[in-house]
Amino acid sequence: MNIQKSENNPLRPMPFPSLIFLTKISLLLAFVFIASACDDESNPKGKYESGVFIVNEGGFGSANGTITHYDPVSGDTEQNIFRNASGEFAGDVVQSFTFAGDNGYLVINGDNKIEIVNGNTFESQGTIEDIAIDKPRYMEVIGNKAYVTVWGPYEDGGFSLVDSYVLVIDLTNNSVIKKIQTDEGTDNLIQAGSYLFASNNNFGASNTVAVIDPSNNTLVDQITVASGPAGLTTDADGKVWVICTGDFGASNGGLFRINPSTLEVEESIDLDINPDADLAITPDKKNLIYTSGKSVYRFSVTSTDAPAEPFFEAGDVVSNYALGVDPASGDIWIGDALNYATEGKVYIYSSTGEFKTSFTAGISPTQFVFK
Amino acid sequence: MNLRSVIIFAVLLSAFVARAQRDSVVLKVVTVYGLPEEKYLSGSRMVLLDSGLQAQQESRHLGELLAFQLPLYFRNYGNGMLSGISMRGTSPSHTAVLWNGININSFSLGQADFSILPAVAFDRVQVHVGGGSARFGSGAFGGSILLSSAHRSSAPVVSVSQEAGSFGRCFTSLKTSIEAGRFYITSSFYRLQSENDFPIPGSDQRQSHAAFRQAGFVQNLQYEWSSSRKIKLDYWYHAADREIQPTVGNSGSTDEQQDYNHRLIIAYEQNARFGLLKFSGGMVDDKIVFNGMQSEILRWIASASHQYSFKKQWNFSLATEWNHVIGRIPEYDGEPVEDRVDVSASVQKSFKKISGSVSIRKPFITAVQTPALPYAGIDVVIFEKERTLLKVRMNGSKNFRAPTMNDRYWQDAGRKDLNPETSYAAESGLEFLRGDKLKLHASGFYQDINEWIQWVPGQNGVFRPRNVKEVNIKGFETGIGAKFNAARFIFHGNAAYQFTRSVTRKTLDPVQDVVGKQLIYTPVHTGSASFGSTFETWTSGIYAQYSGKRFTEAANSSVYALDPFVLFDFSVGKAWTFDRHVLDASATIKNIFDTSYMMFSGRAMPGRNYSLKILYNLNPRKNEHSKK
Repeated sequence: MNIQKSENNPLRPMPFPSLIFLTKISLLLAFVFIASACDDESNPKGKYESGVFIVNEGGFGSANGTITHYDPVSGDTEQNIFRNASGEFAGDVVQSFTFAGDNGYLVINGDNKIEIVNGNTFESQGTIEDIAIDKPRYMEVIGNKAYVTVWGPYEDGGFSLVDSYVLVIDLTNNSVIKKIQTDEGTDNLIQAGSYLFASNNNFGASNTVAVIDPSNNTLVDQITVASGPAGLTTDADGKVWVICTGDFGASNGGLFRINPSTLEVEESIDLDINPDADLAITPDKKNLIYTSGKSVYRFSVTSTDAPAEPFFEAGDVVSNYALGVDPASGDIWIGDALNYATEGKVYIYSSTGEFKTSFTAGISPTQFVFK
Repeated sequence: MNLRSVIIFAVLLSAFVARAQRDSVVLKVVTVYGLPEEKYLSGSRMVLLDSGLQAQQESRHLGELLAFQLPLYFRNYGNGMLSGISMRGTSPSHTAVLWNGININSFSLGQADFSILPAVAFDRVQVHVGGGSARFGSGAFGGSILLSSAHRSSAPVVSVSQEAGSFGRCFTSLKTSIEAGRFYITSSFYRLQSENDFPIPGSDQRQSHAAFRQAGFVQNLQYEWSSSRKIKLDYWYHAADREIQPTVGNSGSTDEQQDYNHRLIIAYEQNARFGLLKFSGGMVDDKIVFNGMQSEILRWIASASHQYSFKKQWNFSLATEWNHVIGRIPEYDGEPVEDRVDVSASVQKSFKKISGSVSIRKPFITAVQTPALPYAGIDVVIFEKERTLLKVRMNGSKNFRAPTMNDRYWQDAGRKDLNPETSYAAESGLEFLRGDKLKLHASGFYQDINEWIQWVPGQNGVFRPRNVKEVNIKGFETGIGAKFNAARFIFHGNAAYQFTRSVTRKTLDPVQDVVGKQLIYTPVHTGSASFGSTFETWTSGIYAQYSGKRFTEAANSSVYALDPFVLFDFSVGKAWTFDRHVLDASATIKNIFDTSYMMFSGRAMPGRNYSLKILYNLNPRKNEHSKK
């Protein structure tokens, strides 16, 4: 459902206002005043102070990436909040979205830029552009530094990645201050302990996790796991988990547990499938959630074997494109890109795998951000 | 009609007798051997692009001209970028573009890129509206566009033009036309470039990374042994080099594309007692280099045709065409080779008030099941008195589109077992003429397209082509053309409107939200209009095109729809004639009202912009071309 602002103005001039009418108007005014006062109390900073933000890539090359806002209390959705607040589509292929402080950062993969918005109102706060921002992917913020994974250029006359890196951006003046070389296809990243961990995916051709020390912005290590490191999360013990998507069609994906202090791989689990790229964790941080198409899997972080059976099947999902777990309720969210040409759908399942609801998002929903 | 005699038909362009070649008011005499194509398409509408307009806007690409003349829509991926046509609610691969009788749609993509078809490169542009596979082969669903080189006796011996415009636009053309004994030689060279760094309307930014340059060379050579035997060579080379215009707000784009197109056709024609016999051979070499990666489709073409008329009432045509297609694209499995052979036959019969034609074509394509493609049409004169004519027309056809080379041979995705798309099309219309002062037409059309090929995600999100959709198209179009004189002014105007519901009726794709929805980038409402005036050696024209809301999302979400727009262009010119010398100057304002619009999602188009053009013609000596 779209809840864009109504054009109807209750205060528009009336040709012959009767007394009764005026009374009605004042009642209405009072009501509006009270209602907005209430509004202000619940969302003093802006209408997007809380909720779930669905990042929709948009059509490739069509520059129509959007953010959908979902209010978990009312169940209402509002499409394209970036345009509603800032006037334009977010850009071409919105890859990811990161809240930091009062701001939100939209990483626009196709447009090679980062759009900055007020995290509560979504009003535009500017753009970060730099020649080094070439196919940006994900962003983490530590203090006033942003760390952005960047695929970098393709080789001449081909589509192979040849120069991937993590960019360090000073958010006080939005300028790039350092480029930290990694293996090709650096992608997801997460902060754990005193390091940043970035998975080098490269469509399954890389097999390492880069470790960056943010105190001096240097590459500390690249930990070898398996083909196609992708989603990252941390468990209750603060350990880093990475999911590897494996080689194409080879059913050799895996889960790896990394100690964020010693940088050792402490556990490796063969999944015997090619899982999707996203990795989520339940609110108690004791169970990993991952998917392969319609199949949703749950894996206890203390287990040493891959689950034999899926936790449940998301039967209606056509093209699984995003996974998230609500850190408050434990609800499992799946983004369905359908045929990548129509508006996608979002399915919400309870923490036990019962279907709860679904709604329409934008084209190719790719990420959920819970706030 | 006797084929031994030369059929002369006069094409009345707008108003009166020529002054300058540019004038859109020229009575031209074109010599055609054999029946003109439209005779075999009774019941259809065939529109001839005003050659005066074409000459005046020779630096523009064909899509830029046609959208102001007919209710058509073009998906332009920016200014000067890939431009695909949408005709009668169909997609860009559903219009066949033929150059001197050979299909020049890309055999890898299916569509023709109108941005690299500059109006300067051909002499004549005809648009056949509606289904026409029986005559034009694969892809003639929405219509067909026929480009041809025509030797004209009245053509200037030398013609030079120079144009300069906004955003670093610069165009030069040079044409020569020589008649030496039995040789006719016409050569032309053209060059266009643009920085294309236009200010993006409604924004404080300029478009980045959209510069383009194009150059081409056209050679026509004709040798006549006698009035009944001749050999013709037509060659066209076009090269384009462009930065790919990125989406609005993109920074740091580096994509580049070069296109190199060679087209050659050599034809032998013999007019004799037994009819008009033609043999031709040729080749088309299409190269696209994208960021240094080259894709090439090479075609060798041979064809033979014969036309015969019996008792001046029955006309018969038999034709066969062979295409040997070689795909040299790195993403293909190996270097696929495909043969396509078409055989076709047509019969045309004229009675006093009725003219009808029936055609049939049977294509054969390596390992593709293809249907036979009939066409039947009829024109009936309902009322004719003095200069007033009322005509009813109707036609029905079965059409097809062969799967493209990409559809069939793309590594790990292409399917050799795809069926061709097929369609049943029908239309019926009225035409009213009142001399050359008033022209009205209206028609309703209907088309069912089956086995529509689309790349859809399958297992693991891998996109593969499939015959997934059934599309139903219903619509009507209407148009008016009028001209009148007032004092020493001559005015002529045209307006056309089309309503098209083009809807997915069924899909095998699990995503059913698209069923019952309008196809993307096919506006329901489209219109075009022009109004020209001539005063002595002055001419001016106002041109308008309109496009309604276009959905870019397959389930017709308003969030992603492009807003309707109307564009207006204006041009004014003056010609000076001194004996055989003609000097012509003109100025054009495009997008007068600085309208912000998009033809494709996320791709900016320029606001108001200007160009100035100077043309010099050296006309032939009188009597020089007198022998006929």
